[in-house]
Amino acid sequence: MWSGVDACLKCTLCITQCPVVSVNPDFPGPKALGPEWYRQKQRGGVATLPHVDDCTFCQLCEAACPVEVPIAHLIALHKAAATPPLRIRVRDGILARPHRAARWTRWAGTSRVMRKVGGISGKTSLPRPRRARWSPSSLGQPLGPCQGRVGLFVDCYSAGYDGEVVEQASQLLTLWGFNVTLMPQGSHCCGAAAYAAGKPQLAEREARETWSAMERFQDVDFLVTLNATCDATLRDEWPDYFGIEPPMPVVPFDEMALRAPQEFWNRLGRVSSSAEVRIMTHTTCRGQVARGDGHLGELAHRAGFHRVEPSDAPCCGAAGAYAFKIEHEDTAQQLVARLVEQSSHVRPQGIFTDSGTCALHIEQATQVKTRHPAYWLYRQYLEYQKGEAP
Amino acid sequence: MATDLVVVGRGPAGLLLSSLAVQAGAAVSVVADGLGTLPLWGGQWDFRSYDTDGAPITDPYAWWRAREPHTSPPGVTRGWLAYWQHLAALWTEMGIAVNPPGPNNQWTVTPLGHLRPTYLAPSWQYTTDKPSPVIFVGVPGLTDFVPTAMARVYEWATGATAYTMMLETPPAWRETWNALNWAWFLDAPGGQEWLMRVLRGRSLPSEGPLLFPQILGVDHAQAFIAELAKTLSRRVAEVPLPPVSVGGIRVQRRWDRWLRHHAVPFISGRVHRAEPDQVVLADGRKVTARVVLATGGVLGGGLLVEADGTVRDAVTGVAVSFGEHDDLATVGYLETTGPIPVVGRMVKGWNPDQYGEGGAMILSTVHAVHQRLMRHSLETGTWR
Repeated sequence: MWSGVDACLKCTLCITQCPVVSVNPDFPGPKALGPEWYRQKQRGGVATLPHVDDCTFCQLCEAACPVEVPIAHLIALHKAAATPPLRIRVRDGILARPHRAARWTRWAGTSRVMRKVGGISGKTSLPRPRRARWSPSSLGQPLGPCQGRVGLFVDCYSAGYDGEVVEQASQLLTLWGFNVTLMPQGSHCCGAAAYAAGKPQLAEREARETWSAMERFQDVDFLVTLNATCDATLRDEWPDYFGIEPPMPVVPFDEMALRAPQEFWNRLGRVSSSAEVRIMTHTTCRGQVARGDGHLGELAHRAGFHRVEPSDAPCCGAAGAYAFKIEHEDTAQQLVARLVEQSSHVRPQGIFTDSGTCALHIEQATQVKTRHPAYWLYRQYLEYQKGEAP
Repeated sequence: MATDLVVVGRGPAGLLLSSLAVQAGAAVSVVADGLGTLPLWGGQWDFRSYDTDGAPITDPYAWWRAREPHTSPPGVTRGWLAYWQHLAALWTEMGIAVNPPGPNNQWTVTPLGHLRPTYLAPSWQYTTDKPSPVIFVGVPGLTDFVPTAMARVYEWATGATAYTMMLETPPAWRETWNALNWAWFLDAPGGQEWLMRVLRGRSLPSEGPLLFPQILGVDHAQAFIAELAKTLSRRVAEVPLPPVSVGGIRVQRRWDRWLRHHAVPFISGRVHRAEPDQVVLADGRKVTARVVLATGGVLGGGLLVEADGTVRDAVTGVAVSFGEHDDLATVGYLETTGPIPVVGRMVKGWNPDQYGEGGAMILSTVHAVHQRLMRHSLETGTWR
């Protein structure tokens, strides 16, 4: 992927799509921080530009580029050259290892003073664990013949804070005829957080550890992801930047859902109470880049929600751990403001999004229940079951 | 939801064809690897601006009518007025205000102060049928818009007076700001209040519209321009700048939004293989539907058709043979009896850079293919 590294035409398309440029007048933009910085570096005389760390690593710049310059990845290299103060380095070291940080689940109780000392935002909600409350068999028998074995990638956020969605996704996949294995055991990390924080070497080490853990699951046909960032990292960054292929094909949960048996959708179609419920969908920036936009809307529609409004915000500002960092809290709030404005017009009763940290950030800002599509499909199926009960 | 039509490319041709198909009731998916060219472009559509000697054309309808039997794509020029009216109505529905298409080209002003013809432009852009006195309003740091230099050229070219004004910098201003930074600043209440305050404090020349560089906001530009005009009791409009081109960004954001709100998915990925009823992406995904290629315009996702009809690989510059499909070079699209319809490409003998006919090229190729797809779907009951 480094082949397009010096291909920049200076066309400026990257700048036009950068969410941070739209809200932060100090941010020099992707062209200056990525390809132009890199060319200066090649010439020897290079300084780290201020505000390089304000990049959210959403990769919308890269997706816009007509000549495949790895703009966001160049900015990640640029970030690696910056030397922030010690306390910020310590904080970034912790947040770049989210699978370890997520084991300590009491972040949300940290006092304001401690947050400030540790460089953690006082404006952004920190996650609280949400445990599964259902028994695994509650959706009933599979709707068709066995379709194979899938591994459910238990990402760091879901492992630490959203056991509920892991359980819901697992039960839905079982209902659709898959044998589900939770993997990799021990909750390793895809490396996305480290890469976004400008630590590509750490990212690669974490990715390789996870790859080794996955290798033991040879009988898995697909790996299903619950988080768009992990999904894109496993499928695109692993081969392109680390030279490792995931041991099995990687598919996001929402695309697996679109392949669910017709009977499942027929049943959800009988839940008539949802037709008038307003729903918004927000495909995360990394999901837009990796797969595109529109799957969540189609899922919502098939699930019986007929008043579905797609989000107008290209990035909600959560960006993994970005919104938790004190120096980014204002940018993160300004980025989510677009969704807040839209939601105040649409007045949705729920928002679909494909990332735990985005859901947390959006829910805090909009005060609208924001959850993974697995949550909404599961909830709809329970509604169907309730309606069928004698 | 089964897809009827998959459009590859999200520049103006891809978005226009997708919109037409959506309006005709088709389920459309857009597949694209990059963004398309809209944000590199001011947003105005040229019909035919100059004749072969380089003289400006007043009545483009008459120009095309005189060539009707010989133009390609054959026959489509008969529908011009309907195509322009459709585009104007579509944009209005998306929230892009546009003046109704008239019989003649309009004049617009370039950042150098020259006049040039154009046909259809969003109403935020300055257009007029007769050059008259104007006021160029500059802001610090924009090297593409220098009011004093523009005024000299404008007065020489038109004989009409051009007044100039320079504004001071707002507190938020940075030396590195380009037009887009200004536009985002003026899209927010703080920036709008600043500009309103500054302008209220100035005494304006007694005549002429206020012409700003194209920086008066992004998503809220239209409302802000209207508010400025009301407060200052005169016309306020913009002159489009070279990229970063804020007008095109406004159009792209509204057009994408309109399509997404009409349930059109934007699938991101590079097409590795295109067949008449399926595209295969680099990562193995397949989208099965009637395929139309709308790639290869200015940025050339793959292929460029040059004015002389040569088809080249946009990256390597190597000429490509199309075998039996020589008509691609001739007309910019393929008949649906051929393998895959193509829209938005250069048409042999046309030359938008020289003659100002780029908008017409997009309209004619897109409508030619759309009409064939429609006929096919009416006859067979399917888009495939």
